[in-house]
Amino acid sequence: MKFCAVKQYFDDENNNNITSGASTTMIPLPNVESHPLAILITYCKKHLKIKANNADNKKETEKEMEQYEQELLKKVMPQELTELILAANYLNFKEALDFFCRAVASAIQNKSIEFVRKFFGLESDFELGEEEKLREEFAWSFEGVDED
Amino acid sequence: MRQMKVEEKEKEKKAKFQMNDHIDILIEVLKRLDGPSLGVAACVCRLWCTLTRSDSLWEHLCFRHVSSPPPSSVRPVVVALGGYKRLYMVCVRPVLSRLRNSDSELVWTRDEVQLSLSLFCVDYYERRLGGGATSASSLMFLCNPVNV
Repeated sequence: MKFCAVKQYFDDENNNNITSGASTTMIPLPNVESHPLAILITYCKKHLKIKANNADNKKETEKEMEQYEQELLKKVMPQELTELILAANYLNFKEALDFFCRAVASAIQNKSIEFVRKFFGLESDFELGEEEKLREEFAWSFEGVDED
Repeated sequence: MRQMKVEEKEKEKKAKFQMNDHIDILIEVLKRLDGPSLGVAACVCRLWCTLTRSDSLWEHLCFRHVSSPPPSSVRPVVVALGGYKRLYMVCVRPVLSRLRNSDSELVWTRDEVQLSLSLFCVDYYERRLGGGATSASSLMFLCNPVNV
């Protein structure tokens, strides 16, 4: 069971000897919206399927998984990635968390400060002159930054 | 009226999924950035600036591409000599940016790690003794590009 948070819930239920059928147990996930949950479930199923298909060949698994991940990223809006990360974190789904963190990192890699702020909906809260100083300190980072 | 409701819902959703409320996840994303992008991240807002001041992020950056990371006993030495951010700036970044031109995937072995740590020691002692990187006898020329 990849969703460790859900697994924990099942384990706790077994420990409490609650006799409800596993197939009808409702698991509360208050911090996860339905849309990211649906994507995570699909991702998980695909991951397990690819792993089963290529049981002996780890490289083949990785290659197929990468192809699937690239396709998935094309369909997901960049701003949805934050929701997906938070959902994967809440569900304790390590592979998805790693994948989506990498996806966000590559989305903001080599981009300007303004792009990153816009991406996360952040605003500058620096005092006057503070930002200038930082830009001087990190002047070397701005070489070769992508156009917005 | 309906337009306003949709906008309000969007704003509420945006407020719900603020990356800055989840520092541990933000750190996971920052860990996957390269050096220049980490410099850009430092100028985004105060929280990001504070997070990028953490030496552990730069430690991760220095040895991310190493096949077997150096032992933890290295850490107090690096910190005493100026910290991982300085190690990255002075010894790791110049070498990485030159190697970036080659197509092969970059992996450092123990030898490259030991060389960069040795040069870091040299840098520290040259600063202490007042020689400076600009003096002709400085060994830090090994970090600079060479016109052959």
